[in-house]
Amino acid sequence: MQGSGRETQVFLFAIALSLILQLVYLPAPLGPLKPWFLGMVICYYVLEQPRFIGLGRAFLIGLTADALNGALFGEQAFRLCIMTYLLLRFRNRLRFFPLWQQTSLIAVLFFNDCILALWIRLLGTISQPGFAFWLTPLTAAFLWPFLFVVLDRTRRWRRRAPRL
Amino acid sequence: MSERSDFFNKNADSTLALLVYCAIAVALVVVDRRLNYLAQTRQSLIDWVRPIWQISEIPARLARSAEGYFIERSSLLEANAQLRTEYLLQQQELFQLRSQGQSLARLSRLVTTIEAQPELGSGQFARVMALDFSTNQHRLVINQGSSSGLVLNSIAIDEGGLVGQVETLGKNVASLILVSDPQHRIPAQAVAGGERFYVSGMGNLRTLVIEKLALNTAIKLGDRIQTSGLGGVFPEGIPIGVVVKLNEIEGEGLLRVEISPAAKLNALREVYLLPPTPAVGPIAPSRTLLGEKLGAR
Repeated sequence: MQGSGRETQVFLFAIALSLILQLVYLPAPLGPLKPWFLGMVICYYVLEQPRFIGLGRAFLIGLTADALNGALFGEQAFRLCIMTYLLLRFRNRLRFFPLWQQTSLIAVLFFNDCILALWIRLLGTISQPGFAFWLTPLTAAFLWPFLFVVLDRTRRWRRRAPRL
Repeated sequence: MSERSDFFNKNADSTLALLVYCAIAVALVVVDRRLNYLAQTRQSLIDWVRPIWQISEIPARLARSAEGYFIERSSLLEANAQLRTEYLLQQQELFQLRSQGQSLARLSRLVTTIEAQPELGSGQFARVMALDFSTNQHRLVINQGSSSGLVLNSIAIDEGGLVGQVETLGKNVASLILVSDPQHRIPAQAVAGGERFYVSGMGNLRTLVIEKLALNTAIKLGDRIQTSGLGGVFPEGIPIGVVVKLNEIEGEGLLRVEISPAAKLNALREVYLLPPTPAVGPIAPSRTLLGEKLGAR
C-alpha cells in the first residue's frame, strides 16, 4: 500500500473498527436501526482517499465482512462493489458538494444499497426485513457528517503530528 | 491532477471489473445458499473469526458488568448466576417429566415412545456471544464447540423452551440457527390433540408459524405446541410455544397458525444444549405411530 504508513494505519483501523461495530449487538430499539458502518467508511475513503480503495479491495473487504458475519457469503462484497463503483463514477461531483448536500446523497446511495441487499438476499434465501431496515439509510445519513469529520480530523492530525 | 486522469483512464476498465466482481459475488451467494457447497469453508472460517467475535462481545459484556456493579455486589451476582443455572437445570428436569407424563397418558404408544425416548440428561450450558439478525437470518453464536463435546444438530433450549439447533460447529464456538429463522422447520405436535405438523420460522423473533394446516385440524387458540420427536434430532416434549392466531387461507381451505415461541428468543443470555436424538430409526417410531393412528380411527 503506497502512501504514508500512518494513513494506512488509520485506514486499516477504521475498517477493522467498522467490521467489529457491525458485530456488536445493540439493545432492542437501536439494533435494527444500526447503519452499515463498513459501507460508510468505504464511502469516505472512496471520496477522500481513493488510492486506498478500488473495486478489488472493496470486494475482498466485503468477503471478509461476510465471513465475519457468518451470513450470506458474497452479499456485502456485492454491495460494496456497486457502492464503490457508483462513488468512483460520481466522485468528482460529490467531493465538491457542501457537506449537507453530500449527506443527502449518501442517504440516497444507502437506500439504493438497501434495495440491492434485498435483491441479493432473495437470491440466497427467503427474506423479509422489518420496517426498520428501510430506515437505516437515514441513520447512515445522520451519522455521515460525524464520521466524515472524525475520519478527516484523525487523518490530518496523524499526518501533521510528526512534522510538529 | 494525476489522480484525476487516472480515474478517467480507468473508467472503461472499472465497468468491466464491476461486472466481473458482481458476477463472482452473485455466484458465491448462489453456491453458498442454494447449492450449499460452502458449508465446509464455513466450518473452517468459524474458528478463524472467533477472536473477532470475542472482541465484539466486549461492549455488551462491559455494559452487563457495569449494570451489575451498580445494582448489586459481586457476591449477589454470583448467587444470581448460580440460581439461574439451577433454575435451568430444574426446567430441564421438568421438560423431561412432562414428556414422560404425556407418554404415560398415551397408553398404546407407551412402550415404543419410552424406548425411543432419548437420554435428555447429559447436556451443557453455553453463553451467547453474538447475535445476527441483521440479514434476517436468525443466527446465534455460543461459546462452546466440538472441544466440549458439542456435535452438529445439538438442541438448544432456554428456561422457556426450544431455541434452535447447532448449525455450524467450531472448536470452541458454534453457531445456532434459531427456530425463528425462515429456513428452520421443526416436526411438532399439539400437546392437547396430538396433531402433528411442522413449525417454521418466519424471520420474526416473536412469531413462529404453521403453514397450511388442514381446516379440520383440532387446534385452537392457546394450545401448547411441543416437539413431536419424529424424524430424529429433536427429542419429544420440548415446548415450542402457544397458538396465538388462526388464519384461514382464502380459497384453499387451509389454516395458517401463528405461534408465540416459548423461549425468550429476544432476551437470550445462556442456553442449555442437549445432544440430538440419535437418528436410529426415524422409520421405526413413525411407523408404529402411523399404525396406531390408523388403528384409532
